[in-house]
Amino acid sequence: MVSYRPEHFDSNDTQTLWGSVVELYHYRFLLRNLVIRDLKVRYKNSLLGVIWSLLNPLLMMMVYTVLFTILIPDETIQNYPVFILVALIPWQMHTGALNASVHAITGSAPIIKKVYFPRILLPTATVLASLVNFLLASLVLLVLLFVFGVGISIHALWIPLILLTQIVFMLGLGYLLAALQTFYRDTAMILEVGLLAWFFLTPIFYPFERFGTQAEVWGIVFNPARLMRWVNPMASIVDGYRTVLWGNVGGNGPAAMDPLALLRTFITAVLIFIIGYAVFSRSEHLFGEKL
Amino acid sequence: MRYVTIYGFRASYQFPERGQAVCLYQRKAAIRDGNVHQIFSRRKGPKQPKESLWAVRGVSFDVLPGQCFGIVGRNGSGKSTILKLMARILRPNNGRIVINGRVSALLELGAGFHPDLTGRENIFLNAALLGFDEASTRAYYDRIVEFSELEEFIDMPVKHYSSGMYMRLGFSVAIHMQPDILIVDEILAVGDQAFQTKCINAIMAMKDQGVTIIIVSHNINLVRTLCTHILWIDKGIPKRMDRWMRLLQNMWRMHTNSSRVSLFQRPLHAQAPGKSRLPAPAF
Repeated sequence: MVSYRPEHFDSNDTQTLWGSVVELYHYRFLLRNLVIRDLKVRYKNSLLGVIWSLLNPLLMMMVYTVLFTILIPDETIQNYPVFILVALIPWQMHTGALNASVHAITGSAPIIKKVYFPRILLPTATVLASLVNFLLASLVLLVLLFVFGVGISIHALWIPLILLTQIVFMLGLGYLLAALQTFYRDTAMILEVGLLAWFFLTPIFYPFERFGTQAEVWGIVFNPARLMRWVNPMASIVDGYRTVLWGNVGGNGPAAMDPLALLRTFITAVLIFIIGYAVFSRSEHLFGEKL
Repeated sequence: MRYVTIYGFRASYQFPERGQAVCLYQRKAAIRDGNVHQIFSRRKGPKQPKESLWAVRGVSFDVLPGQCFGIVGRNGSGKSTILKLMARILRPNNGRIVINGRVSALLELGAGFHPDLTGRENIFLNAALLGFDEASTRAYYDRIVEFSELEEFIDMPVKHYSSGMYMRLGFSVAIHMQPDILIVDEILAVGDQAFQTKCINAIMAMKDQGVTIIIVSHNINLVRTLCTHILWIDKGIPKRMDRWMRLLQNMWRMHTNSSRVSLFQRPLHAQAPGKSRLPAPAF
C-alpha cells in the first residue's frame, strides 16, 4: 500500500483512495485540457459558437412559454418564463452531463488503449464541461430575472449548496454510467428512455406542488410528493433552485428552502457518488481489454 | 513457468534503480468462437471460458538503466501485450511488474489527437495525456513544433493533415517527454525517409543520454543497431534470451524459409553492429 508516486509503478500495489486523489491532482493539467477539448469540439464548425450555450435554453424556454401560457394557460403561475428557465437550465446540465458521461470511456477507446492516465478524468471532464455550459446559461437566467422584476433575493445564497449537491450527484451517476457502458452497450439505450421518463417525473414544466399528498395504486396508499422527495434527488434539486429563485406556487417570490431537505438530498448524492466511484475504480483496469 | 534472466542476474524486485523496469508476468487470453479474446477477469468464475491460451506466459526479464531492450517475434506472439502491460494499459493476470522511473510509452503516435482541433491545441492535449504539466509543455512547445517541421500548419485542424504529418506531430510531442524509460512499439515507420532518420537519431540520442529503451520492431536492422539486449517471444513464450548476435542467428535459421530477412544485409546507416555510430542528433 503506497500512496501515488508518478515515477514508480508496481502492479502488485493496490491504489489507496488518498493515492488516487494525489494522482488526480498530478493530472490536473490533463483534466483542464479535456474540459477545454469538450467545450471547443462542441461548438467547432458552428457559426454562433459559444452563443448556443445561451441561445439553446432561451429557445427551449420560448417553446414551453408558448405552450403553457397561450395554448394550455396555467393562471396559477406568474412569470412563466422565469419559472421554466429556473428548472430547465439545471435539467439541461443534468442531461448534458449524463449523455456525455455515458460515452466518456467508450468514445475515448483509442486513447484508453494506448495511453495510461487515470480513467476517471474522462467522465469527470464531461461533467465539468456541462457545468461550464450551465454557468454560461445562467447569464440568460440572470438577465431574465431582472427583466421580469423578480430580481435576486438573499435566498439565492442557497444556490452554491444546491449546485454542489447536483455536481456530486452527476459525478456519481456519470462514473456509474461510463463504467457500465464499457461492459454493456445497452446502458446508453436505457439512459435515453430513462432520461425522458425522468424528465416527466421531475417538476420542470409543472410545479412540485402538483404532486398530490395521497394516491392509491393497487390498494397501496402512498404520498406522491414525499415519494418524489425520497426517490428522485433531481425533484428536490430542481425544486430547490425554483424555490430560492422564483418562489412557490401562491407565494410571494423567492423563499428560503428547507435545510433538512437539502441535507437529505446531499446525503443521497454522496451515496450515489460513492457507489459510482467504487464501480468505476474497481472496473477501471479492465477498460483496456474491453474496448 | 519459465524464467529467463538476462546476463545471469536476478533483480531485487523491491527497490529497482531509477530508470529500471522489472517484468515478471503472465497474461491470459481465451479462445472463443475461433477468435482470440483476452480473458475478462482474473477471478475464476462461470465467465471464464474453458479453452484458453496465454497471450504472454512465463516471460521474465529485467531491464537495467541505460539498456536498450528489443522485443522481437512474429505477429501475434505477444510483443505488444508485453508493452501494454508495462505501460499500465493492461493488468497482468499474475506475476508482477515493477517499474522505477518516468515512463513514456509510444504505442501509437498521435493517440488522442482530435481531428477538429488545431495542431497547437492538440500538442497541449497530447502532452497533458502523456503526463506533462503546463509549464513544461509551454517550455518545450517551440522545440516540439520545430522538430515536427510543421510550423506553417500548426494552426490548422489536424483533420487536414496528411497521415505522415499527423504521425510527425505525434512523435514530436512524445519524444520531448524526457522519460527515464521509453517504450516504443513499431512506430518508427513514420513519415518520409528523412524524418525516419531524424526519429531514429532522436532515439539514439536518448539512448546516449542514458534513457532506458524498450522497443518492439520487425526491422531486424534497426533492432541490431539499437539494442543491447533482445527478447524473442513466440506464441507468448520466450524462445531464447541471449546476446543479440546468437539470437539473430537463431531467428535467421528459424525463419529462413518463411521470411526474406537476411542478416547479412548491411545494417541501417552502414555501421558495425552493436555500437551506435550515428551522427549526433540535430535537436
